[in-house]
Amino acid sequence: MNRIDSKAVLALARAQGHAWVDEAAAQRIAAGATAAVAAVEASLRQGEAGLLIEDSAGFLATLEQLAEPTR
Amino acid sequence: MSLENWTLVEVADAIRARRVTSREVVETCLARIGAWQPRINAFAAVLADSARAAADRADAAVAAGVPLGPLHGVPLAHKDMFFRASRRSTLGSRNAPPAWGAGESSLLGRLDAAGAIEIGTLNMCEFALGPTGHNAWLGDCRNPWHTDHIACGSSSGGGTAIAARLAYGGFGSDTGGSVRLPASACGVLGLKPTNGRVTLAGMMPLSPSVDIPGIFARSARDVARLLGIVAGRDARDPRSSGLPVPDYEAGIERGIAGLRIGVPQNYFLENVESDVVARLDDSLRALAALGAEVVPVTVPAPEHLTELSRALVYAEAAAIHGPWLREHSAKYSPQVRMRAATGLSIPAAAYQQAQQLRPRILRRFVDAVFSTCDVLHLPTLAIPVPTLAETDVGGSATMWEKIAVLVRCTAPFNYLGLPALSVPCGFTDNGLPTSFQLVGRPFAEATLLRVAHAHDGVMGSSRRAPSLRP
Repeated sequence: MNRIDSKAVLALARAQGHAWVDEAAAQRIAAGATAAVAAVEASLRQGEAGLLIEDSAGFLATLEQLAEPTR
Repeated sequence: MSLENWTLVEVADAIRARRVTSREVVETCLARIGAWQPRINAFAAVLADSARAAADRADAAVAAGVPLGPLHGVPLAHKDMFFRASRRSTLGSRNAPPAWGAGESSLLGRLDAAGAIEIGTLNMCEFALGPTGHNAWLGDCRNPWHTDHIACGSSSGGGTAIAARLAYGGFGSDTGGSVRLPASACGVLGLKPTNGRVTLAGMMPLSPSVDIPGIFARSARDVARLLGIVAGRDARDPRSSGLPVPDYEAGIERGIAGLRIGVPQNYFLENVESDVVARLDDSLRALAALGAEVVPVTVPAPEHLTELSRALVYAEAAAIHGPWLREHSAKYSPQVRMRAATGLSIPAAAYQQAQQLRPRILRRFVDAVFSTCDVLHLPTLAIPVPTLAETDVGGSATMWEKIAVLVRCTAPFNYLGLPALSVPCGFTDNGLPTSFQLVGRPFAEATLLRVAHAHDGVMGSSRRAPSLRP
């Protein structure tokens, strides 16, 4: 799993100018970011093999295609 | 029945029929706000003078016999993140950059055109980031059924104000459950429409690809009327759908005989407390007695949906808040500061993958679930409404765990973009309201409202009102 630890969070925060991020904050942020990224990776593993070529701008079109038929 | 207990549709019809004046209705709400606001802190601002003036204009229009809109003279109140050029919204903060909170909301414009009166702006969690209703800047919002308990959030004032009969309906925003959770905690209906059904233009963004305005009201018919007014394509919002808007009120009486109600066999009913389960079972029995067929459903890969949503929400929130947060971190409360900064550590590739997976996962979910049932039935909040003290975790080590418990059954549908409606169904052992949640195919709001209307017809759950305790 792609684990984002507090050292990586601190480094990224410093690189982006967020001097307020301390070790305690970095640990909380790391926990949240790791969980989100792990879900993305797990979902990628569940999908069929192949390139991920979907256009994310097509989400609304997908909702409309799957719309409930008028009852 | 006293005026405050009328529904939005009842009071709109009565104003039109000259059985009551808009001024009487507004004064009723203002009197209740005066009594309740010190106890529950539902409002960010009360707009008494402008509401009275608008009511007098509304009554003059009735007397003049001019055409009236479907919300003519009815007082509403909305989360303080829908912009008007004439004021600056708080966004749940005292410290937002001056340019934030300014603009013009398309949604408010549609409500204005329908004749609605805005009686105040509602308390909310700081920048809509928080599921409990705590707010360090505006003061905590409290549950009207018991003020030691949370109202939930982030549209905390919406649940409290509508439940306490301080307005007849209102709008919040729902990015992870922020309308459905306070609706459930306070005992009113809360609708998260399909993403794209309602315009985002002029609403504070938290995560534009996930955000959607939602509705608080005390009956399914009230929700139907409000949705019918605000739904539909908006040229100012490229994310809004151009699909035709049905007449949501027209079909609401059709009943639910033969409708298939799906009960998830995995994930959503795990770790649900027993008194919540008991009320869910009551509601299923009521729906079955009305002719619905209750069927088991296996939901594909639900365990990742909440975190997939977070990959989008936190990355987009970090993009929005990053520059201000970098320079003014002390102007954020600790939990909001850390949540807004989480996206700074989510790789861009992971964010993009979460976006690209979204249509694929949606299609798989809809194909698997809605080939078996017409609507899903599940909890909104899996636990009885907790107290403010139990959930006052700030930015501590238990922050993520507490948040996860609250949004477990709501956030998945923000990632999927599906319509979801929280419907009151009684009370848990601590005396606080609980609810069931209905989820449908994209743009199936009419079906959800039909089920809620049928349920309320036999259970009457939305008619009970909280009372002021000494």
